[in-house]
Amino acid sequence: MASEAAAHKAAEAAEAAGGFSIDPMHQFVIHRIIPVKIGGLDLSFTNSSLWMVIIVALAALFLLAGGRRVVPTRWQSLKEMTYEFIAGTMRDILGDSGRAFFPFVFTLFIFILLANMLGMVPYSFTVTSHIIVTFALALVVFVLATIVGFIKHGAGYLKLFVPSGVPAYMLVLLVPIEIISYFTRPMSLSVRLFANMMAGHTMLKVFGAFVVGLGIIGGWAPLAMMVALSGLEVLVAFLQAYVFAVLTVIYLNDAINMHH
Amino acid sequence: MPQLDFSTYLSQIFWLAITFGALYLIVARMALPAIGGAIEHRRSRIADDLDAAERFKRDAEKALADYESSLAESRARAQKLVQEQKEKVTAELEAARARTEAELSAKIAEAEARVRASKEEALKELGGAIGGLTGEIVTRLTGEEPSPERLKKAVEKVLG
Repeated sequence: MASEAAAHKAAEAAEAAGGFSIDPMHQFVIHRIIPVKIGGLDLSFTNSSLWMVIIVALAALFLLAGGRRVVPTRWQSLKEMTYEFIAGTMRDILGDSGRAFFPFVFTLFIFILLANMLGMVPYSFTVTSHIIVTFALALVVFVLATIVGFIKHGAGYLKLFVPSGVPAYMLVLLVPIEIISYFTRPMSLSVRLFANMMAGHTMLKVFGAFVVGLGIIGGWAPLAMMVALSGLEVLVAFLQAYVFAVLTVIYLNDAINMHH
Repeated sequence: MPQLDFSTYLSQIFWLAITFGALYLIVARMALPAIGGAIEHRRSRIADDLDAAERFKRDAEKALADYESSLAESRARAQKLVQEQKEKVTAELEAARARTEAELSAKIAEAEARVRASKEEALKELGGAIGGLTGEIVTRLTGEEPSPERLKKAVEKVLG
C-alpha cells in the first residue's frame, strides 16, 4: 500500500508543478480510512470497505423500502422486476430444485450490480475492479457448487469429469481437460468481472485526462467519446453482474442436476 | 497496479465477508420473503377477484334468465286475460243484442196486432156506413128499401 501511494503522490506532485501526467490507475488505489490491526493482521477500514458498506446500505434501502402493496408503487415494481428477473433466470436454468440458492444468487447479483454501477459515479471506488474481491466471490461460488455436488451425488459427482458417449481411449485425454476446465472456473469467473471493470474505468480515466489535456479547443472529441463509453460502461456493468449470476446458476445446475 | 498490492488483500477479503454476509442476511431473511410475499399475495388476490367476477357473471346471467322467463310468463298471462275478457264482452254483447231483438220483435208483433185490430174495426164501421149509404141509394133509385140481410151480404161481397 505504501509504495503505491508514494508513486501516486509523485504523480500528483508532477501535475501540481505544471507538468501533465496521466495516472489512470490512481482510481484503484486503496487507502486506509480507519487503521485496524488485530494480532498483526491488517484489517483496516479502507475506501474499498467504505464502498462495500455503501453498497449494502443502498441495497438494503432499495430492497426494504417501497412498501408491499397489491397495486405496486414504481419502487416496488422495480424490486419485483429484479426479483422476477433473477427468479426467472434461475428457473430457466436450474428448474425448481435450486430454490434454496435463490437468496445467494440474488445477493451476488445485487452486490455486483451495485458495485459496478456505483463505480460509474465520479470519484467513487469500484469494489469489483479488484481481482481479490472478484476472486473471493468466485471462490465462494466454486466451493459452494463443489460441496453441493458431493452432498447431492457423493463420489458420483466425479462422473462430471467423464463425458458420456466417448470411447475409452479418448477419456485419457478428455478427463484431464474436464478437470482443468472445472478448476479454472473461479479464475475465468473472477478475471472476467475484474478485467471488464478495470479496463472500462481505466479507459474512461484516460479519455478524461485527454479532455483536460486538450482543453477547451480540442477536448470535445474525447469528451464525445467519453459520453459514448459511459453508456457502454453502464451496459457492461449490468451485463457483468448478470453474467456472474448466470454462471453461478449454471455451476450450481451442474452440481445439482449433473447433466453435462 | 494497485490490484496486485497484496498488503490490501486481507482487509478487502475481511470487509467483503462482513458486508456480503450482512447483505445476504438482509436479502434472505427480510427482503426476499417480503417481495415474494407481496407477489404471491397479489397473485392470489387476482385469482380470487377473477373467481368472484366469474361468480357475479353467472349470477347476472341467471338473473337475466329469471327475468326473461317471468316476463314471458306475464306476457302469456296478460294474453290469456285479454282473451278471456274479450270472450266475456263478446258473449255479453251477444246476449244484449238477442234480448233487444226479442223485445223489439215483441213490440213489432204487438204493434202489428193493434194495427190489424184497428183495421178490422175500421172496416166494420166502414161496412155499416157503406150498408146505410147503399140502402139509401138503392131506395132512391128503386123506391124499394132492400132487406138488411141482402145489404149486408152485398157489402161483405164487395169488401171481401
